[in-house]
Amino acid sequence: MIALVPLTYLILLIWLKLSFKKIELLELLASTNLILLGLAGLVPFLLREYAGIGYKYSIFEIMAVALALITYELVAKRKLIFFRADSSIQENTELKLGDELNADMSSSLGGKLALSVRGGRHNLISLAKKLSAPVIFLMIFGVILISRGFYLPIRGWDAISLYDARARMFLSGLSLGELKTLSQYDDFNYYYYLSYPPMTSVIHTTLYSTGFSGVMWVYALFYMSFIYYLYLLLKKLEINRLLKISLFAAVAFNPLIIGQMNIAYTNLPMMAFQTGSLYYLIKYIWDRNNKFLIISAMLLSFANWTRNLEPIFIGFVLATLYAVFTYKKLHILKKMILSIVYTAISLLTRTVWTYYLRNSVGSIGDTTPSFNILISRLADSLYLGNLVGIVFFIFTALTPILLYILLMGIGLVWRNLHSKRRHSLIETALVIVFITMVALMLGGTLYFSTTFTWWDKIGGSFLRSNMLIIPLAVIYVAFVMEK
Amino acid sequence: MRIKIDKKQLEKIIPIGLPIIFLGANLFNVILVLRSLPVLLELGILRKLFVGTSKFLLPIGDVLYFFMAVKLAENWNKGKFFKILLVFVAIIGFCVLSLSFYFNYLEAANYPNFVFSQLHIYLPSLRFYASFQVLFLFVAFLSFLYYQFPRSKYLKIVSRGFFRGALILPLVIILYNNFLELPNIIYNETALYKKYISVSPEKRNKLPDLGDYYYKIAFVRSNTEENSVVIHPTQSVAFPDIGNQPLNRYSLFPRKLVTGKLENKFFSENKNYNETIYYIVAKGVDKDSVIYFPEHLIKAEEISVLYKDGQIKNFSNVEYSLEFVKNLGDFEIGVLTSK
Repeated sequence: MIALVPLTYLILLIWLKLSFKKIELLELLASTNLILLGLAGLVPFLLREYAGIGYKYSIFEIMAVALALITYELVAKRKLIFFRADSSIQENTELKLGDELNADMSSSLGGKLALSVRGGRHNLISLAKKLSAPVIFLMIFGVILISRGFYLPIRGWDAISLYDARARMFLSGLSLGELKTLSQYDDFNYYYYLSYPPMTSVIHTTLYSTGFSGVMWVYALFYMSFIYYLYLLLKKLEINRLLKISLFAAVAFNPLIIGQMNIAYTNLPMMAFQTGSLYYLIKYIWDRNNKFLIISAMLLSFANWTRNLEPIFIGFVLATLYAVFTYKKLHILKKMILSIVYTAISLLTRTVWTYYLRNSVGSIGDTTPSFNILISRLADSLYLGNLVGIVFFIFTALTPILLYILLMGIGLVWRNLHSKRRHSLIETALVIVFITMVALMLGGTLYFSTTFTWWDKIGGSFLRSNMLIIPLAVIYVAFVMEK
Repeated sequence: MRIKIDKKQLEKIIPIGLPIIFLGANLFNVILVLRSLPVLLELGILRKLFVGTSKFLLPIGDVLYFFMAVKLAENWNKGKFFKILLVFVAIIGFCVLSLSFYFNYLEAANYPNFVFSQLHIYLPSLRFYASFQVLFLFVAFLSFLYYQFPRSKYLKIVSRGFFRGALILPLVIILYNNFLELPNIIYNETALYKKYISVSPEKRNKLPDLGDYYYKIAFVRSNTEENSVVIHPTQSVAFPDIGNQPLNRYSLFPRKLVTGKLENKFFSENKNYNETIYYIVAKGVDKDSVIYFPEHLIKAEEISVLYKDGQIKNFSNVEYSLEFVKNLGDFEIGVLTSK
C-alpha cells in the first residue's frame, strides 16, 4: 500500500507537466507536493462523511482523482494520438510512458523522461540540461529534510492531542461528527476536536492507512514547496544576485519557519498553501493564463481547509479581483466569470466546513461569531485602555518578525513617497494581501479582547498565525527593488 | 537660524569626540550585558545609576557609533588615527559577534537561562549589542568601499539612494539573527538525531516533548482494559497534563474518559454500567499545597502505583482514602480499579 503514495505522486506530477507545458522542475515538485497533500486532506474526509467510505480506501480515492485528472488532460483534451484517425501522426506520437519513464526515473538522474503527445514531444524532465547549482542544492536539501522527517515522531502538544489524535480515531472508524460524543464527560474541551478543519488530521489518516508509521516528513514536503516557490519568484526578478540570495535566506532560514518542520501544527501547511496560491496569482498577472488562477484558487481552498480562524483568504480574493478587473484586454463578462470562479473555488472548503459544523454541532462558540455579534464586540473594544493593551500585545507578540514588518514599511514608504515608478499590479496585489492581514490582525485582537479573558496569553499562537508576513514582506521588497 | 560649523573646529573635535563615542557606546552595551555580575551587584545604588544611564544613553550612543563608522571609513586615508579606530571597530564587532554566537550555543546546549544563571551574562542585551555590531560592520564596510573603491560591483546593491540602503540594513540584521539561531538549530538537530535516528521505531514514537507524561500515561494504558471507563483528574494548575482529556485520549483511546469534575454526572447517567471503572491516582502541586486525586473514599479491587525509580507496588482489596494516598510517598502515578 505504501507504494501507492509515490505512484499517486507520479501521476499528479505527470498531470501537472501535461497541463503546463513550460513548467520548471522545482515548480513541478512544489505544486505536486501541495496538490497531493491537499487532496489527501480533503477527498477522504468528504467521502467518509458524505458517502460513508472508510479511510482505509483513502489512497485509492486520491489515486482515482489523480487518474481522472490525467485522463481528462490526455483524453478529454484529445491529446492522445490513438484517439485520432490519422495513422501517420500516430507513428510519431505514441505514448512512451511505460518505457522511458519507468526506466529513467528509477535509474539515473541524468536521464530524460519523455511523454509524446499531440503537437510533439514533451520533455517531462530534462534534468541534464536545465539543472542549475541552486536547483541541485534545493533538491538535495529537500531530500535530506524528507529523510529526517521519517525518523521524527509526532511533536507538539496540539499536534498530539488534536491533529494526530483525530487521525488515529478516524482510523478506528469514527467520523469527525462522532468525536464530539467522546468529550461528553469533559468540562474543559467539549468542542476541541471540531475547533480546526481536518486537513492535517486526514493527511495523517491517509498515510497511516497505507502503512506509514510516521508522518513528520509531510511537514518537510510543505516546507520544501514553500521555499521552492520563494526561490522561483526571486529567481525571475531582475535584482542583484547577492541580494536575491540574502532575501531567500532571510525567509527560508528564519528560525520560526524552520521550527515548524519539527512540530505537526497547521501553520506551516497553511503558509505553504497560501504561498503557492500567491505564486500562481503572480504568475497569472505575468502571463494572464487562467489555469494559474484556478491553481491559485485551489491552493487557497486547501489553505482554508487547513485553518479557518484567520480569514486571510479575503486578502487573496481582493487582490485577485483587483488583478482581474484592472486587466483591460479582458471582456467584462469574462472578468466577472473569472472572479466568481476564483471566489467560489477558494471559498468552497470554507463553506463545506461551516455547513459541516452547523449540521454537526450548531456552533462551536465565540470563535465563529455572527456578523452582528462581531460588530457589537468590536464597538465595545474601542476604549483607550483596551487599545493600549492591544497595541502592547501585538508589539510584544510580533517582536520576532518586527524586522520583516519594518522591511515592508520601508518598502511601502519608498514606493509611495520617493520612487517615480508607479505601483505595478503585482506590488498592489501584495499590498492588498498585507493590508488585509494587518486589518484582520487588529480586528481579530479587538474582538478577542472583549470575548475571551485569555486573549493576551496567546502571543505564540498569534505570531504563528501571522507567519505569512515573513515571505510577503520579502517578496514585496524584492519587487520594489527590481530595476 | 542656521548654525555654522567651522571645519577647523570640527577637525579639532574629531580626535577627541570619536574615541569618546567608541568607548561610550561600547561601555553602555557592556554594562547592560554584565548588569548582574556579582561585582556590579555589590555597588548597590551605583549599579542602578550605571544601568539606568546606560539604558538612557544607549540609543544616542549607537546612532553616533553608526555615523562614526561612516566617518572613519571616509577618512581612512587621512591619518593613522582613523585607520586604528576603524580597525578597533572591526575587532570589537567580530569579538562581540563571536561571543554572542558562543553564548547562544551554550544556552542551546544546556537549558534556557543557563548563561545568565551560571555566568551572569544577560543574553538579550548581548544579542542586541551583537545585532548592532552587524549593522556597524556592514555600514563601515560599505562606506569603505564607497569612499575607497567607488567602482566596486558590490556597491550596486545599495547605490540607489537612501531607501534602498534603509531596506538593506534591516535585511542584514535579519540575516544575522537567522545566523545567530544556527547554534540552536545545530544543537536541536544533533539532539533529534541522537534521540530518534539510532533507536527502534517503537521507542521513536514516544512523545518527546511532554517529559515524564509519556511514562505516566503508558503505565495507565498498560493497567487498564480497552473496554472500560477511566476517571482522571480535572484539568488544572495541579494537573496540567494528566488532567487534559484530549491528551490522555491520544494514548488511552478507545477507553471512555471522564473528568473528575463530571464523575457524579457520569454515574447518574450510567446507573447500570457494567464495564470496569478505573481512577487515575495522581499527585499535583498548586502554589504551595499538594493536591491528590481522587479525594473521596473508594472501595478498590486493586491499586497499582508507579514510583519515580520505576518500582511498582500493588495493593488488593483496600479502601482508598486521602490518608492512604498520602502514605504512598513520592509516587509518579497510580491506577485504581474500583469494585
